[in-house]
Amino acid sequence: MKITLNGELKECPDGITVEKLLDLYKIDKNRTAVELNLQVVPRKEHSSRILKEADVLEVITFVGGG
Amino acid sequence: MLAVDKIVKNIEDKKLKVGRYEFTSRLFVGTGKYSSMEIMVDALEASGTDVVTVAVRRVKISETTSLFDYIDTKKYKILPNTAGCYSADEAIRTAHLARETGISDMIKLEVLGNEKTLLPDPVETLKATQILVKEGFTVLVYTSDDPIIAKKLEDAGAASVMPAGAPIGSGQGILNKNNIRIILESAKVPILVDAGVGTASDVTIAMELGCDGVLLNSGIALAKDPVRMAKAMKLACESGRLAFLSGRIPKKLYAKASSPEKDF
Repeated sequence: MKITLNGELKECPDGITVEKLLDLYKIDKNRTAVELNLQVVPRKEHSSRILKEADVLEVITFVGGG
Repeated sequence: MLAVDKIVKNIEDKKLKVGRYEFTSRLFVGTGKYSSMEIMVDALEASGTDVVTVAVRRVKISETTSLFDYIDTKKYKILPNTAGCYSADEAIRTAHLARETGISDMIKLEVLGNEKTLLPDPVETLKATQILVKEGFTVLVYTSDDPIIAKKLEDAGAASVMPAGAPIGSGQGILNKNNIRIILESAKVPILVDAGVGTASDVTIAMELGCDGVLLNSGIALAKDPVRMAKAMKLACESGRLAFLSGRIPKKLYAKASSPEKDF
């Protein structure tokens, strides 16, 4: 199925969880936060939340700033 | 025993309290715009700061290094900002994501109104402050130097109100000392000058006015020698604070001799 990850269309297996998707794309889970269709996904739900076709996922972290 | 040995006074300052957090240094330093991570690390060290600001951005997929490979979160308290947000909704969304990382419930709220001037949008800033305070955030809010909106932000529950000395990154210093004075006169929360600082004396002026601290980034990061400038900012902040606590002499039109009149 196709989902949007940080603005890019990505292919991933059906029924994948948030946690598995982060692993798939080798995204460091430390100091990151995930938003699914504009709703924050609490960290403890990453392993149980299943993604579906056309979901929009944002994964954020921190960069230098003032 | 010399007389001087008996009169050593304790001039230790009290800690800066923002919400439930306490800081020894009154200088908050940004982590943006450094030419290298190594220079940033040294500059932060030289500044003596306890708090560093960071921005929230998308993870770059396949990027292996993180800002936190360089910033020791045991040493520095992390203050995420909502830089680049132009509405209350956007800023609130950013704040939620920042808190979800588990790094802090502090947020440097910044809601801008114009891309060219980077001046804050007071209406959206106030709206976002009210909501984030209700949601339990410790809100440090960036605002203009307008005393009326500063008071409204305090009333809305901001843990600190942070008026700009001058526009972000402009390096113009404290453009309206009178407004900062008026804000300080009735403030019940810490007032930190945020933005506009160009050099050490700008920090000193803010602190001499009675500000509780200063937040800066470009003034250090874009100096020719950021590490040396960071040290200058640290000393300026401490000097200004000491001078404020000491109580300066009034300005007079005519001279007044320091030595007794000649009597021989």
